[in-house]
Amino acid sequence: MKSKLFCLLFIIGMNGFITESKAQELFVFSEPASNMPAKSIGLRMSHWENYDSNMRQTLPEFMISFSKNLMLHVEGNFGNRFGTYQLNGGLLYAKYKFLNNDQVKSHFRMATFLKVSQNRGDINQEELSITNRNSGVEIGIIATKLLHKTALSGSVSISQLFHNQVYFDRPIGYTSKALNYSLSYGRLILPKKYKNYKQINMNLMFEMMGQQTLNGKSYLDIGPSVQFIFNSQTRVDIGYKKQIQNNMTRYAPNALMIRIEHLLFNVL
Amino acid sequence: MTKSILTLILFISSLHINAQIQSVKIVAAGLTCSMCSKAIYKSLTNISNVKNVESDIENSAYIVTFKDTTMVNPDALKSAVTDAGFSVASMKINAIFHNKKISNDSHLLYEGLNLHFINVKEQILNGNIAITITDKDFIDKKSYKKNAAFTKSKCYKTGEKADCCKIENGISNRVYHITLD
Repeated sequence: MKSKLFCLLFIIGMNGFITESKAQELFVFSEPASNMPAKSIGLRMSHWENYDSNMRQTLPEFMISFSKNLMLHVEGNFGNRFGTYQLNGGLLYAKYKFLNNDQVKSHFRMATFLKVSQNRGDINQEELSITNRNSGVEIGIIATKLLHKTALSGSVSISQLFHNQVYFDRPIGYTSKALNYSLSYGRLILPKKYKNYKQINMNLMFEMMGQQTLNGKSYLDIGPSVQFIFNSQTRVDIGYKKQIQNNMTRYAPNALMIRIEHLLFNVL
Repeated sequence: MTKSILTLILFISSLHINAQIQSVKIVAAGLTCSMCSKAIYKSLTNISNVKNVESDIENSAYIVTFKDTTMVNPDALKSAVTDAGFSVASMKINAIFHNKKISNDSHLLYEGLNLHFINVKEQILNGNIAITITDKDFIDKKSYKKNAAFTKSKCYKTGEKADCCKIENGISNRVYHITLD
């Protein structure tokens, strides 16, 4: 109930904002429906610090755009969950943009995505996490609206987990299917007026990420973040993910995330 | 000696005047951020015949100049914008004309490009004029449909030379449909 009320307030708040503010869609905790430029490569490094369980994770990511509509991410997952820092798993993420409705200074786009992950860690939480802690697949759909410099994006996906590698079966009573959703809002703060590509851009984002399992378990996180873009090519994100509603076991719900990403245009 | 220098200056000046396509102005759709704008800028500068790209980030506009003005390829410019992830809102060719008579549905072979004029009054083009490409994906859908009412030619839909086109081939069979704003 609390989470539904929060969602409603968020949507109402965004509707108010969208007519008067400025923003971007390069979200920190979710992906927009837009793709990278065709024939480009992106290099990304994300680091998560969790203060509840003293967990740390580092995720190097290689992103490649085959065409204007199709892109692929390959991600490694390193962390200290086994004591020493080591590789825990990996993820493939493919996104296909199937709807593109552009107008001057605005667009509406839709994309579908597929995540496939392999993880060798033990399963000690009910939360289904394709990105961090489980082997499985996730398929979903994203819709993103850019209006002047304001961006609003939503996604819905379904997850199906497999047993983790070797001997870590999913415990009895832990469901392996879930519905995931996200809602993201971004606002451009600086510069007030564009003059050249060297100006530093600053964006503020606010995101909500939730999950609902088949056996009635759910959580909802919020993720405020700030983003800086240098030379129109390198971005630095700082975000904090905070759980606001939950009735399932989760190992690391609250975490600080720092990310650096660099885009190489037309290299393929 | 002075005469030779004058002749040389006149020759260079005449070369400049005869350079018919001066530039192409593209306005892109679907973006507001400088990272997106830079993606288009990089994509345009990656075209081998492009000499320079001047960008206006605030208005999503790009002015492109060329090394060889007889080899300007509007389709390549459009693809550069779409490959970067965006669309063309408008593309205007800024060109010099010398007493070229045009009318609705008239054709003109110009700098290797097959031009087919749509939604224009009978007139003579003289001097530096900006012409607008009104083909599909070069202009917004509403304007594309509006201009379709001014021709029955099949080539307006396909962009390829058809029976309706009574012009010599340019670089290819591609026919660009042109209007004047």
